[in-house]
Amino acid sequence: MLGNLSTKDIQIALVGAPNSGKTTLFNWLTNSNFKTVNYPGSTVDISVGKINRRYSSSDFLIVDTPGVYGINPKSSDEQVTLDYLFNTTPPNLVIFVVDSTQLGRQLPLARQLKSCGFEIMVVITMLDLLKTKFSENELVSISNHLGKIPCVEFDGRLGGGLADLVNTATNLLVSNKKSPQLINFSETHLEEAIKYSQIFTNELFAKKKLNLTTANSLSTKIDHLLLHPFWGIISFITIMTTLFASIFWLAAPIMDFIDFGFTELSSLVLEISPNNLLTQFLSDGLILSVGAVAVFIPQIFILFVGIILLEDSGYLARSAVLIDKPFSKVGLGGRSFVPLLSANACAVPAMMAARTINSKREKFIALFIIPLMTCSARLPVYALLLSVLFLNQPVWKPGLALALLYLGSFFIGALAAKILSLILPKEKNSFFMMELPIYRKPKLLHVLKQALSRTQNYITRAGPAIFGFALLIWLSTTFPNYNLEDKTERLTQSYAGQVGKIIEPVFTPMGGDWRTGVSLISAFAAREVFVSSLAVVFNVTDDDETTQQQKLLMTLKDSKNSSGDYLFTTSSIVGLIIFFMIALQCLSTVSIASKEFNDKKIALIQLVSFTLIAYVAAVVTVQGLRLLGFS
Amino acid sequence: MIIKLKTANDLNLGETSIIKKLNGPKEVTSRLRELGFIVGAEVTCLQKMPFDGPKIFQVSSITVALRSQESECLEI
Repeated sequence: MLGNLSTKDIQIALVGAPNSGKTTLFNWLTNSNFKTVNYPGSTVDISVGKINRRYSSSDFLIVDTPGVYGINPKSSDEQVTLDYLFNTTPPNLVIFVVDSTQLGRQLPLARQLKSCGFEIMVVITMLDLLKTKFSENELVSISNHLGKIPCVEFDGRLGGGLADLVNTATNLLVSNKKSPQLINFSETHLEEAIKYSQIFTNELFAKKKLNLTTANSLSTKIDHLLLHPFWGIISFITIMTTLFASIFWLAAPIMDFIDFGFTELSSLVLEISPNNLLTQFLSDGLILSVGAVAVFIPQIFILFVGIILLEDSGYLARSAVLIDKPFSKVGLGGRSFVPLLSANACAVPAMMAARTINSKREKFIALFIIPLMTCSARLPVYALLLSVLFLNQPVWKPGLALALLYLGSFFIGALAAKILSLILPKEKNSFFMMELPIYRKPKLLHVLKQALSRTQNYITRAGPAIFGFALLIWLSTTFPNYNLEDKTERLTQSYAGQVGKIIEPVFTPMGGDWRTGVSLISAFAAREVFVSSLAVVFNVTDDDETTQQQKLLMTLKDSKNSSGDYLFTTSSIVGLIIFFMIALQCLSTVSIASKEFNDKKIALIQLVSFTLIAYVAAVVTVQGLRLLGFS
Repeated sequence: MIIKLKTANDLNLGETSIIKKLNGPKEVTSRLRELGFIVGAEVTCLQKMPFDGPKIFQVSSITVALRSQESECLEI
């Protein structure tokens, strides 16, 4: 038993096949809110949490691990689990989580882990799919089948069985950890073990008069339509179009409301003391820049809701199947679909999701093109630039243009993937093999909670950069001559103006001036800072009736460079958009890339090449459009 | 003359057969076994994606999508 060992050092690891319910159990045990989705391979890294005091008086650590099918890893997310189990301090107890509908196939791994020397117990989940429970006797017989591994049930939807589970776990903890040894089981051994477990489960289920195919039959029926060679593709296109279209149509009214709120707040603050530097900073610096970005939060939230709905229903695995063949034409495969789709929210989790791709070549290509997808940080930038381009024109125009930008980024991504697939050496023995989970009805509350927590993550990540640069840009555009009456004069003589003049020649070929340049450089902290920087740099506070957003659009539309030409013309806006589509202006992406490529050099090559190509493409576009007669 | 073995890839829509043997690279066959494609198991072809894309198979109680070169490892 535990002896004198401090309970703080006790680690309990949750191990099991992908999509067996480990993260759900982890969330119950630690009272946390990690994302759980209905897609095999949604956990790609180790998470550690303290056990909730409600269930145990000791501070055990619970460790959630990426799903594994066996103890010979075949992809890097499986490698993470195996490295944890065998290479670092091994866990004091392994809780082996098994899906009740997959007992025959998943139980052998529990026996293998015991043979390797782990202290282990089994938790059976997803009993709602079987619409039954196991009796005390049946649990004992499963335990006997496994060579006396203790066995309990757990209901992931309501949390039933937790007390029993924690009790069993506490009794099993041992203080003198032996180091487990990795055993290389032969293929015949594996085959025999599965057969043995399957015969056992079949007998068990026959006694209970359970027919496993009934649990599957509804999913099979749905798949008849959603994986149909023709209707499957039609539904895929419809579902994806609805997802991206709803980002714009659903968000519009909420965005107007937020814009109105920030506008009121800004004028209220300024009224308190119009000539005070602090109120000026709060109003023209902080509220203005935070507001410029906050307007786009509803769009980001709706995008997250859409992605989570797809994840929870089980459709993502199907989309991966549908897209496998077309993706293989550019050196990718179906397993790259989920990382690339989530890259439309953020490249950072997307790069981590690429760990589920077992082919090294495919994974490399996917990691390389992920930053080209339209991440949510680009959304505010595109939305602002398109609103200026289509100022006072019907709303469907910017909406359609935005849809085209999404398509455009898929096209650029595909092109880059194709080029890479021609350069990189061919690879043998990679595989696709996608398990299709049973369809489940997404729970609204869960979906909204998850979307909210991901939106919060987005805000906390982008927030400090927006705040910091709001301060920096406001300071550098206001000082040293902050008491000058003429605002244009004050800006030109400011620190930002002086530095801007030096770097201006770089931005003139893309149709910008030093103010666009300063905003573009600040966007390397985070892309959305571009919007808040523009708002501060171009801020001209005239007290009129329009809202902040309207005013910013008009100011941009009317601004001219030092030689008196309009700054935001068709050519220069298109040029800026092209720049944002390709350039890698995101330091968090660069740092996660160097980790996932396991090579700093490749991450740097990615940063430099994307940004250079973006600049050249933007200049070529602007000059080309001007030659063609666009303003 | 090379006699082409019949594999799961040759199954017609809705057709079920019993796996006789697993052939192919160890990485692939080992994962196939872990998924439940073992000798003696019944495998059914549920769906075929167009242009020789992945095919959907049912084995014991699970549904798995396999590419052609993967289902060709399952001799029936």
